[in-house]
Amino acid sequence: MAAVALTMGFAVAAPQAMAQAAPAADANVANPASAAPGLDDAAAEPMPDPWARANHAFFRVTRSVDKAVIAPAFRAYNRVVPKPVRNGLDNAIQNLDEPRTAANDILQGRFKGAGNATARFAINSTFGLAGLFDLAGKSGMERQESDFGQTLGRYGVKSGPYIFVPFAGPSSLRDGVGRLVDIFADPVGLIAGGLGTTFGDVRAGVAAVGERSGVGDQLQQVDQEFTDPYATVKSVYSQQRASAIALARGHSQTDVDQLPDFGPTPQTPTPERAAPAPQKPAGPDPDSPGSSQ
Amino acid sequence: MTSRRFTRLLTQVAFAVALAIGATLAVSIASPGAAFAQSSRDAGAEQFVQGQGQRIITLLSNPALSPPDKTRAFKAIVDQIADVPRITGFVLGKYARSITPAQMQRFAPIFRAYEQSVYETQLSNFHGRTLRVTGSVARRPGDVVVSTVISGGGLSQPLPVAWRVLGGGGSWKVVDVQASGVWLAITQQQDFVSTIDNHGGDIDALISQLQQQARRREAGGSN
Repeated sequence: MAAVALTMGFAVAAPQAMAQAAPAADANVANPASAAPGLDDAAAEPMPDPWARANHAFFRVTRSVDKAVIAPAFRAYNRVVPKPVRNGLDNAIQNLDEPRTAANDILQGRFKGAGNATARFAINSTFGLAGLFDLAGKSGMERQESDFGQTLGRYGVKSGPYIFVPFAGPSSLRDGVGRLVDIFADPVGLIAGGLGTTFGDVRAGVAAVGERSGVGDQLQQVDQEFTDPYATVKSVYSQQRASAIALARGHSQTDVDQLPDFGPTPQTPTPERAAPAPQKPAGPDPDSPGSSQ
Repeated sequence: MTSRRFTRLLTQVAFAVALAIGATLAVSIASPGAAFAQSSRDAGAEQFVQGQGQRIITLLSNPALSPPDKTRAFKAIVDQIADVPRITGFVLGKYARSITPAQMQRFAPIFRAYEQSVYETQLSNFHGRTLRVTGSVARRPGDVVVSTVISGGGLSQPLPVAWRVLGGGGSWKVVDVQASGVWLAITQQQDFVSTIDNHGGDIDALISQLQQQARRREAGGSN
């Protein structure tokens, strides 16, 4: 099986999603006809978490070290290193992932996506000066990553248990195995050298730095905006993976059949300006906008 | 002799592999999801999202407005186009059934404020200028997922954002928004339910945590 690497540093992949760059939805879907309803992980369900105790412990340690050491270091890094330089490095590192994406796209039957990744790699490696500039992206060929965990999911392999990898981030049994396959079968790694070679180690290091620096203070945002950061990161990661697999199957971003229903409008006193009026139990809400369906 | 047997074996294996690949392809192509995904667009829902979504993006990217004015205008739009009461019930998950009227009376306003603030932060993070509807899928009549792409402004490449809207005819309401594969209300539901679970089913624990966060938000300005 030839498939390729998601380089290292999957850092804190999850919260990143809340704010930034998404895979292009419909751009790369070759065959909008490959749904297999019921096969995949439901979009709305978080991954099973039988190892919750260990995961919680890893999550806690990772977050406190991140807060105390890593986040401040990256704040300094982002201040000192100019944005164009950081972008260039990110581009160059991500460019090396394109062959892996192309290989996985082929395995997934997304030939258009594979063509896109191949063309991007060719253009950016040459005219984009070894990938420093994303010229292909500027001319409308958007970057879109594929990985082997996604390939497995596309053919019906379930996520298996959720795993929070210390100092790396959320994953699952399936995606962890996928990552190993991606690393060891990475075309660029096989040719230019994988982990253990200078090239491979530098590449992994720069990738990890780039990922974490891109996450910025979004971890803090999770703290401010959600009440249970552990559950939130797990939820976000589970949804992202379900969405990546839906994309691989030719859906656009989401498999609508997997969405939960919205129940009826709850009977509540109109929350508009809910004055703490003494008692008065809830009754039907006269100005509820729920004239819907 | 043995070599001929070997060749035959090889042929059989090759045939089996080809058959397997063919079968996989056939199954994936013939699967019924496809027809469904293509057939059920909803023009009314698309029109609603195109208009209101663009209105939000335009407001948030307006450099002439002061942050407090922006927040005020944004809240007004959310009240108008989102079905906040319905979202309020949804994010409580299984606890929507056991919440007491008194608790609901405290939860609803704090959640409304929270929701407006979270939506404003998340949508501002997109830094886009224009929104374009690219399609829609009706899960069932009156329950539609509209796909859009936000581009321009600070976005280096177009960002796909999906909107889940409920309603019909000319009257629609947003109940959830998805970016990067992540639905906001679904995430909130899993977050809130887990928080209540962790406190032995005590919904008041969630309410007081949200109240604390609101106080911190106010103290820290709009940041």
